[in-house]
Amino acid sequence: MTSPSSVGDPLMGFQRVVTQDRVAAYADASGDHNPIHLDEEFAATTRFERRIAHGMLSLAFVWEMMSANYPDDWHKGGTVKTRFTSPVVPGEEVEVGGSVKRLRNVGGEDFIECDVSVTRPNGEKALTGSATVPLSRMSVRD
Amino acid sequence: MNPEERSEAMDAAYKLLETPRAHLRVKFEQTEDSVLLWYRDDVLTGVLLDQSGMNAASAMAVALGVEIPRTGESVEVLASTGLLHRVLALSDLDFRNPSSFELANHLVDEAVDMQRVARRSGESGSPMDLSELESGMEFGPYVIDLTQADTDAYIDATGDSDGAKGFGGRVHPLHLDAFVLSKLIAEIGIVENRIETVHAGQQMTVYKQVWPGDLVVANSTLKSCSNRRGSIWAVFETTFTEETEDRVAVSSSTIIMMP
Repeated sequence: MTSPSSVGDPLMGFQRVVTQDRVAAYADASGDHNPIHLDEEFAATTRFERRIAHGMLSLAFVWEMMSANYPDDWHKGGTVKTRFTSPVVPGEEVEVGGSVKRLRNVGGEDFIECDVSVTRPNGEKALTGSATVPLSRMSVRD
Repeated sequence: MNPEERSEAMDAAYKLLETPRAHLRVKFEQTEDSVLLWYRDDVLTGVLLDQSGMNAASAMAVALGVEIPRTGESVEVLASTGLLHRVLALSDLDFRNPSSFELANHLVDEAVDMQRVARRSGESGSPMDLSELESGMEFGPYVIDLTQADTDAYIDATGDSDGAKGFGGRVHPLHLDAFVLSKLIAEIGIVENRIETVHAGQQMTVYKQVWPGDLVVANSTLKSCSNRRGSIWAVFETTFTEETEDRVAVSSSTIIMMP
């Protein structure tokens, strides 16, 4: 696969169903047992009125997308700047996507900056932001 | 370990300590006849279990902030090179000489001051009150020591079926961040006090990859904290470093709490 490298190139995205089981598994794996993700009774008292998925889970989807699109460079160092703009509710299938926003050269280093997003079935963005791939930035310990 | 062996080990140990480091994972072990301090596969120092050696071992334990392990057992300790200098010096004291006790007290006092202990670990003690939060407050250090199973579980939980290939056995960088977030929310009392929260934003820059078994230490600072219409907006900045002091990643987390 050729990595997207021109402004406007779409990133290869994917859809993923966020089940409550996945949220529970993520809570166990990450250690984040915030009741807003797990406790139905507590979640009903919050502004969301139901359990919501971890924002970090949506960010993990973005990380996975960047890893798939830039397999040689993303793991050598990458930056994400994201806002969680709407909660993902368990049961929803989200769409993870993005596109190349611009190419930059800073101090002799090349960067590809991408717009990234996670979109809920109703069209609301659960996550928006940018992901920057620094090409040839750091040494890799293999 | 006799004095000659200790002298030889300490020569190598002092070379190791020439490079100041905030976090070295050492092992404090009691064998049938000695108390030993290890770093990886090398003994840094040790004392025989005679009367003088037991005094030294006791002082070393206090300096390290642990109990002397039982015979055949060991305990891992995270210590700075400065603290280890004191522990090495303690191991070299001859407690048959009464003046050694005075010097030992001095060294132990210095070491205790240097102990890098998680001051308000989310796993022990009561969570803090939100009213205590103020900008500049430091959290951690949090020691992250993930196994391959931990790493695999994290990647599986995200549903990344190709994760093993994509990460090649490496620790998912977001796993480091998620680990610290879990500690922070516990420390702040979000879980115990069931405080409604919104994770509003997240930034992370990765500088170096880490592998299961690598020791990573995270230090967080409450960069800003403001009250907006009854909600507390907190921005935590976290720096992740290896025991070599190499920077692994930095992150920033914006959390809104509605007490």
